[in-house]
Amino acid sequence: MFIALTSVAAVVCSAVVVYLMVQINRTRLVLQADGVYEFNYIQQNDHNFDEFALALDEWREARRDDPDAPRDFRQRFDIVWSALSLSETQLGPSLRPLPETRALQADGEAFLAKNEPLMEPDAELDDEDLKRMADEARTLSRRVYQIGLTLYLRKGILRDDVAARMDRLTRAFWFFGTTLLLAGLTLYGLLTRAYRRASALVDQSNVTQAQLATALEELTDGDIERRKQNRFIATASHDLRQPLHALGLNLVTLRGHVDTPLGESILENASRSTESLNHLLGSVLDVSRLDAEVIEVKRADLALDEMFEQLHHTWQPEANDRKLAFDVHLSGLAVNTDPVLFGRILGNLVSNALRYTEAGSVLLEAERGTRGGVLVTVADTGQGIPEREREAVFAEYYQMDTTVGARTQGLGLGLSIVHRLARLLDIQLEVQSSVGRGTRFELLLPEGDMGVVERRRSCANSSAFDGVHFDGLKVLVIDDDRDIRDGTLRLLEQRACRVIAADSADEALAAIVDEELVPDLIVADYRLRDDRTGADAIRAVREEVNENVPAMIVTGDTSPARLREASASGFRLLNKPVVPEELFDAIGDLADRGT
Amino acid sequence: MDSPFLPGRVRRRIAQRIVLLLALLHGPGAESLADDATAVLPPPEGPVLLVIRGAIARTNVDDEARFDRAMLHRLPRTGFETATPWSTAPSHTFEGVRLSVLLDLVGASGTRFEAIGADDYAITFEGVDLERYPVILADTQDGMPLTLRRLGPLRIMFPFDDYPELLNQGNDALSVWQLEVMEIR
Repeated sequence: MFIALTSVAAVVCSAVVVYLMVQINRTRLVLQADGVYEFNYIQQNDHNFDEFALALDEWREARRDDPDAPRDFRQRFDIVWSALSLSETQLGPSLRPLPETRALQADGEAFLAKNEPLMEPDAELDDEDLKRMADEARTLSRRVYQIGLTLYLRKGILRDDVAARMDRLTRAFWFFGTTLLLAGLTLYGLLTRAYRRASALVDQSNVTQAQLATALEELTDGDIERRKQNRFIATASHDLRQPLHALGLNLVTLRGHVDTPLGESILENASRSTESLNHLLGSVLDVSRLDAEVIEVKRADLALDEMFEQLHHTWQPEANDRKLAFDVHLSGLAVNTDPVLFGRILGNLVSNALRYTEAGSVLLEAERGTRGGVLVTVADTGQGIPEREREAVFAEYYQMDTTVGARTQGLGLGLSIVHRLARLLDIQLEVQSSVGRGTRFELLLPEGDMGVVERRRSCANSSAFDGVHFDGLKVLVIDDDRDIRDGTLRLLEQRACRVIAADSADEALAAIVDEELVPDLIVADYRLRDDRTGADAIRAVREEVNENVPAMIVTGDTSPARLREASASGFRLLNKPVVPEELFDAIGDLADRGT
Repeated sequence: MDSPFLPGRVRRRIAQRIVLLLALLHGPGAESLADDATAVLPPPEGPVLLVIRGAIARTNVDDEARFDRAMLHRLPRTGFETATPWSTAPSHTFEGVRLSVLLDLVGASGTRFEAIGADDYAITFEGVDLERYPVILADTQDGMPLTLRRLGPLRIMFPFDDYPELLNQGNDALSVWQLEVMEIR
């Protein structure tokens, strides 16, 4: 504000000073131009008229004695003429001559014109003419003298005026000049101070930036840590996965060989444990796949009730164990999303809700959103998430510092997977939570077409696999892990397949040659010995039999790069541990396409 | 009493400054006059236009050097085009004898001289570099002989347009018209 005022003052003062300078200059010019030329003109003519009159007198005297005396006055007449005719440059309008001077000039010119005939060499001149001319010249000379005096007085007065004016202008100039100087200095001071302040701010911002850079670096380092951890887990889970896969296959096969109820019960428990283990490894696999960005979203219309019932069926035992109420409200609504991935989201949320709730209930419900879509809610009466941890719960491996100490500790991947899957599926995910009272997750999905669901349901009759048989389907199994190979072999043989098992491409080729057999289908492990891959093996076999045999790859790899590589091979891809139903499904699918 | 001590008028034509060198317009008499320092200055035959007196080496009448029109016309001539403070015309062409040539001719030994006009105007020349600047005694303007009424017959003229630095009140005052006498001191 002060700067603005000072600036205005400075500008005003500058304008005034400029105005004063212009005035002073104008006055100076007036003083310079005024009078000098006119005075010079007056002087010249005064002298010339006088001299002309004198020359006339002299000649009049001289010719009394000598009639042929030279007529010198004619030269003087010419001189009068020459000076008087300079009026154009000496009395120009810009010089503002006195009216008297103008009048004199006119009278002088009239005098010259009237008397010019008398200046002819042979002009007769009597004394009367000469006297008259001399008198007229002297009269003019006197007038010139008077004008000179007037001019002198006038110029004197003008000079005083101009002097006084200059005085005032000078004083004003000093005043405004000083004010301008002061305003300028003040402005300079203010601006300097503002500049210093700005510099300080810039310095401060530089410091802040440096701090931010350091913080960012630390964060990035943390990111690198996380990736290492990821890699480690991927490797570990691959190693775990192989035996688990074999175990799953063997347990299914074992079912037909257990006779006692106790045996069945133990087998049931073993299966459930395997399933649980599968689930945990599945989470890790999800993260790996999300990292690899190989997840393909397959949207479909699905009935929420079916999914809710399945969740209810899956988690009710756990709720019972923990003495929690698990309320599942059916809505009759359909949503449009990827059924598998959305199932994972809900599974994770329900599992989490059960884990972090000590007493009370877990609620699963769905309703139409106020602004369209379907709102699916998973709510619990658990410990809640503190405000400051609201963001962190979605980070990988994050586990709430919990006193509940959930018995079935997970890996802390649940909400991270939920978060990332939700983003992948364009599902709006919101969390409301208050510490000690519970947490509420709300998912907003696009509504699905119930009609489509109904139609599909009517088409798909019971898809139980128990009765699935592949009569005489010739399947080539290539896996370097003996347990898995044998497990798969037995599983498929149960289903009436004719199976050739090989631990490498070479062995597979040898078997094909020996038995003179062309397989209908190839199931190959991705990672084989000696850095060979299942894809290589499949291509080798296809080349040998010269036929484009349907094939699928089973992989236990969880590292993003490996998954991407396997996916790029273009073959149908199954992730270990493969649930038998999944395998049968894929086989059926490929066999259909093959025939 | 009359004096052209006027400040230079602003209006000067700067373009079309042509220095007219007419130095070849001289006859045999002029050669002897100009080149032979020991030659006797012949006396004037017609009406005298210019009298030079004072500190001079060559004279023709008493202790004065007197020139008539014919004598001046036999001297090397030069000229230029210029505007003047005494005319509203954009420019005039002036021709005549260069002042330095005339002073050399009479063997002037002083550095100061007084120039006196027919109208009794008198002023003293001092500190003008006549070697550098072709100041002339003009006797024609635009090809017409100068008369008394047109500020002649002789008129000291500076090449204002060719040498703008000459434009000042002092040189205006030195531009004596109706020149009759030069007294060297």
